[in-house]
Amino acid sequence: MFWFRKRSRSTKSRLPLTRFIGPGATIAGLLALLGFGVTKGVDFSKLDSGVAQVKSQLEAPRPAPAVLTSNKPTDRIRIASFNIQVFGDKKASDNNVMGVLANICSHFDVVAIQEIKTPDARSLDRLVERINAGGGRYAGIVSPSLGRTSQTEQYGFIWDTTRIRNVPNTTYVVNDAEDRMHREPMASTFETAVPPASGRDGFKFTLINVHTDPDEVKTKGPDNELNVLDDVYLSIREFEYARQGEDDIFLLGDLNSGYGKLFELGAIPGLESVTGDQPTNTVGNKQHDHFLVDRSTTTEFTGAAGVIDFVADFGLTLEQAKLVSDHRPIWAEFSAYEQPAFTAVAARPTGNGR
Amino acid sequence: MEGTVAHWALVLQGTEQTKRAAAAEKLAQCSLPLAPAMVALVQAAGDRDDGIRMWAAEALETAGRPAASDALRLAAFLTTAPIGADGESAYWAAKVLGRLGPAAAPATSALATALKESPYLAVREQAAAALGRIGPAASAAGSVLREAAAGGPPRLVRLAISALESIRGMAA
Repeated sequence: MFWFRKRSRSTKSRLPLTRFIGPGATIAGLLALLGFGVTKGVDFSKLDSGVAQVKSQLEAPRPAPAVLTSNKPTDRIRIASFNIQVFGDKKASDNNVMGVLANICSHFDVVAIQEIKTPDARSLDRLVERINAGGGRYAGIVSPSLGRTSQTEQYGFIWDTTRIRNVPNTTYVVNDAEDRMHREPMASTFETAVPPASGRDGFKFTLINVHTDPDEVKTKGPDNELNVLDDVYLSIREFEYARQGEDDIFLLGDLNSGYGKLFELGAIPGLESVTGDQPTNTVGNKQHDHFLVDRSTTTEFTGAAGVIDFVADFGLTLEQAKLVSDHRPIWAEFSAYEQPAFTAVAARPTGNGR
Repeated sequence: MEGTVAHWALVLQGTEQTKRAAAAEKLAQCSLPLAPAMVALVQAAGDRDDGIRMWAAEALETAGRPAASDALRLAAFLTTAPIGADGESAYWAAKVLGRLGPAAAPATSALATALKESPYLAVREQAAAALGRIGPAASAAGSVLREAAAGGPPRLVRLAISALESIRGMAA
C-alpha cells in the first residue's frame, strides 16, 4: 500500500523533495540516576539550575539558558516527541517561548516535532539556533508541508550532533497514494556516536513521526488513521530491515487518542506505548501522544520513559504554558550501544502500553 | 463575559484584525467547549489574514461538536462561499457538521450540493464523510453519493461508498 518518498528538507541544505526509493510491502544521566521511570515526570529542577531563569524569562526577556549537554550520560540517550502547537513565525519570534522550547529540547538527544507551521524550515532553524546559542550543537531537518487544505503542517527532527548522527538517505515521507492519512508520517534513521575505543556499535534506530487528524481516529473502519498506521509501521519495519537490517523502529507523536484506544496500531504484537497512560496535554487531563516501542526487538530500551510536565517543572502559570504548547513532551531512554534483539527484554514498566 | 468563549467569538467576528487574531489564538488555547464559537471559527478559517486562519483551524481541529441548532448556519458556508474563498470555511463547515452525526440532517441538502459542485476535493470529501455520519436521514443525497462512488479520487470514492452503506443502515 505504501511507498516511501524522499520529501525532507535540512535546515541547512535541502534534500530532493521527491525521490522514490522503492516500495514497502509496503531519543539524564541524572534522570536515570534519580531513577525516574515510566510513571514519573521529569523534575527539571534536578537537572537544570537555569529553571528559575526560564520562569523569569517569561516575565522579561533574558539570554538563552545554559544548555546542559555535559550532563547527558555517555551510555544512554533520550529521545523525545513534542507537538509544538502552531509552531510558526509568531512563536518562533517569541524570545520567551523559544527559551522554554530550547531548554526542553536541549535535554534530549533527538526530538521529533509535530505542528511546524511555516512553509520552509525557518521555525525549526530558529529553534536550533537558539539551542546552539546556549552552547549546544544541534541540527535539524523538516518535511515538506503536509495536509489536505491550505492549513498544512511540517514534521521535524532535531538532534544533538555531538552524540547522534542522521544516517544519510534514510529520511522520507510515506507515499500515501490512496490518501489514507491527512498528514503522511515522516521517517528517518539515526545512530549514536560512540567512542571507537568502546569496541561496540552505536545504537541505530528509525523514528516514524506522526500527527493524526483528530476526526479520523475515533470510528471503526479502514479509514481510521490508527488502522492505517499499523500498516505504515509494519511496512517501514519490513522496508528498513530489508535495506539496512534495521529492527529498532519507533512510532512517536500526537495520535489524538488515549491509552488502550489505538485500534489496529495497538494490536501489533509487542508494540507498547511506553509512557503509559499519563496525560500529555498541557492542562493535564487527556492523553494524545505516544511513544511506541517493540520491546521484543528493542532491547536497548532501558525501561525509563515519561511525560514532561513543563508547567510544574518550569514553574509556569497555565496561561504562560499555553503560549509554549497545548502538549507536553514525551520521552524514552535507550542504551547508546546496539544490542542484539531477542536476548533479553528490559524490565517492564508499570502498565501495558496498549 | 470577558474571557469566555462567547466573548472571544464576538471579538473574532469584529473588525480589528489584531484583536481578531488574538481571539482566534485564545480560542485555540481554550480548554472549554467551543460550540458557542463554532460558526465564528468556521468563518475565520477562511479569513484573508494568515494568523487568523491558522489559529481558527487549530481551534476547530479539537473544538468538538457544534450546537445542533447551528447546523443550518454552518450549512450556509457550503453553498454561499464568497468570491475569492478558497474552500477552507466550507471544508470546516462540512467537517464539524460531520461531528454532529444524525443531528446534522437539516444540512443534508447543502452537503449534497457541496459534494456535487465544490471545486475543492477536500470539501467534497468532507461533505461525503458528513453525509455518512448523518446516516439514513441523509438518504436524499443518495444519487449524488452514488455518482461520487462511481469513480474519482480514491478517498472520495471510499467515503462515498461508506456513506451509502451508512445511509442504508449498514455499519461503516
